[in-house]
Amino acid sequence: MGYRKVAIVGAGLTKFVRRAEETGQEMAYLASKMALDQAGLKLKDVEMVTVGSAPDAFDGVHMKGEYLLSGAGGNGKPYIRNFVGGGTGVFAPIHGWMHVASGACDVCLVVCSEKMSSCHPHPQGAFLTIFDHTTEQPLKPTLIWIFALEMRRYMETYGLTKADVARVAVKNKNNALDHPSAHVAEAVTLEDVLNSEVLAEPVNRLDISPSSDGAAAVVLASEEVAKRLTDKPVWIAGVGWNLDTAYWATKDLYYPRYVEKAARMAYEMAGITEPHKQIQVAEPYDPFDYKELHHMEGLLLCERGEAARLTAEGYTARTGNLPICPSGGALGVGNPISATGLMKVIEIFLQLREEAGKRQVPGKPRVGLAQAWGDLMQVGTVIVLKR
Amino acid sequence: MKIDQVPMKGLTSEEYERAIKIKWQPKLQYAWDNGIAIGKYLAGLKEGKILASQCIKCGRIMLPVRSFCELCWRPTDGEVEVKDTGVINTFAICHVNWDASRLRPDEPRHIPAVIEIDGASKGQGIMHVIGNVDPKKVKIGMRVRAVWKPAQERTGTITDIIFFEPY
Amino acid sequence: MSFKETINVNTMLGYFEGEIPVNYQYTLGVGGNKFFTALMEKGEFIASECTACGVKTIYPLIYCEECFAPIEKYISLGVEGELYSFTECHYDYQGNKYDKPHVLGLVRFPGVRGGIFHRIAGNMDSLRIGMKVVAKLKPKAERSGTIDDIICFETA
Repeated sequence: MGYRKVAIVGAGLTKFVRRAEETGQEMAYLASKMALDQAGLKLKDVEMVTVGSAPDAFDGVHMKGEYLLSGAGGNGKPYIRNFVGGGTGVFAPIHGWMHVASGACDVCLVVCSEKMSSCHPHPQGAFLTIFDHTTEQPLKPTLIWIFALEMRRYMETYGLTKADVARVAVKNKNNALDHPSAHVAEAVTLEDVLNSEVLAEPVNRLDISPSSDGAAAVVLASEEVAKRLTDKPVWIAGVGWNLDTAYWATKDLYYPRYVEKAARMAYEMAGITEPHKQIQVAEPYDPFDYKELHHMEGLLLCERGEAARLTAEGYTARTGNLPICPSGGALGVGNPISATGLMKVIEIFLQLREEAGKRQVPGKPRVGLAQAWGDLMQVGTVIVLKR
Repeated sequence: MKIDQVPMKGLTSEEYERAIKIKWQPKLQYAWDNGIAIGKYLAGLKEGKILASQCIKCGRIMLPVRSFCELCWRPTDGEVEVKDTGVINTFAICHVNWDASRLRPDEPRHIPAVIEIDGASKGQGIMHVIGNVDPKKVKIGMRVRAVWKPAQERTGTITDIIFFEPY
Repeated sequence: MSFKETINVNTMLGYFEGEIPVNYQYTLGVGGNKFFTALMEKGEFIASECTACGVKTIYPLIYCEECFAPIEKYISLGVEGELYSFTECHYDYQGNKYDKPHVLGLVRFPGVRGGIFHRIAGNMDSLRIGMKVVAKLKPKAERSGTIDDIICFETA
């Protein structure tokens, strides 16, 4: 298709924590340095840098891209920040892919950093103005409203119970016990989730991922450079992104059509015709437990309305036929927005290299995907990786 | 190098309390213009009417009102009045405020809903709140109608509709 | 369709008022902690020094911007530097006139990247680029680990 082949050759992650002492810049450095070390590269080898980060109002740092620059190794280099809401963490490596696939450079560093703990009394305050200022804000909507609305519509459409959805939280939080970055990995049971505080029916506290501070980074390289650096490159086989209308109340809330469109774009590029058979491990975005189910369906990894049953049957467990969020996901590892999406890409990178340690899924997977989602339930970003 | 020893440990609540912190209270205040289409919509609300935009090319009657049809990518063809009744597409019962503080037991719960308005094209919904009902009795598919403020109290805002109530 | 500028008094337009009601608490970070702890306790400025490539930076970082090596060495610069540039401001950010002009400058330290941006004592006529200036600090008991522990820089 005229694109150059692009590989991930190194990855770095910080721990995801409730409150970091480190600044966003320092977190970006820790992840970036680890990624470069793993790739066997020095900063001078990096030709271009792209940084993904959520709204400035989270960190309380205006022009956050510019602020993060030096920690992300961008001083004096072609550098740019990318942003598509919660979809940013998977868009960032897509953006890096553009740099390398186009031939603009051979080595691109991709960094995501988020320091949510600066924002008081709650980061949701920064989100109050995403709603239409004239027709919605006077009703005092909050972020949790729209997720509760979407979750209920999804449950109603397919006749799902709270327990059907909560099994995702149980799986992911327990998966995260094996992740070194995990913020709040807890060995929770189905009863724990169902009995946790009701925040906005049908959403309970343990249906939601915790907001965290954290950073992640990957190094992308062209084919020639990648083969010189490593005998285990992981190739970016397909990328896709798509956005739907901001008139969110007019959409079919039970099905993320924009995620399907993004997935189809990535699958076509990757030559994937039967995703439910060809994708062997996946990290869909799971800031809420129902979102994992929603996204499995949008990604065409199962029939519509079937994801909850597959979860109950253990099909999506780490040892199941199609492991979903073996990392522990946002629900388990924590949710520093953009860094979460990139953490998911890194998980697939590690799984395909068989370097995921205790989290390694069986069967030597060769093809995996990561996906993120965000804005006013509007954006899907998808990346397909191959060994 | 393996990713099994990640840097950063995080601060405990006590460490965070003790840490030197720089505090900033920004004053971020805005006045957002209504714009052309929404301006007409608000004028309609003041008169107790819900207006929707129409596009004669695709035939849609659209809510929220808009100056252009984003599918046909052309200006809309004026506004038409739709009913002030509709069907609940989905709803939630919210027990918390945006800052994560909890509503007191005696405070009424917030019941946001997506309401598909009668007379608009299928699926053209708006967000509003449901009232005058026991939260336990709210159901998807329930018919609701707008409860308006008295005409002399209406100011041309979305809150001229106090809430939608089942009927 | 074109823009119709039929209303040219913007207060006649309908509008909805709102705000973003958040506040922030920033930790100093690992590098920032080293600087402000030393300022508070020892009354001195700390810079980072890269043992790999030799670059010194103020405010201190935990990494070298130049070569990305982790920083292992922090050095004291005392409190004396050179005035790199200065300005006199008459209005605050909302356009209100100050009672008397504020003189601000960037103070640098020989051989060190970066600098400290702060208030400069004295009037414009007495200042020269390159002149030595020294920080006037609050008494130790009143310092709290913030940039205001420095009252101003004054002629050395």
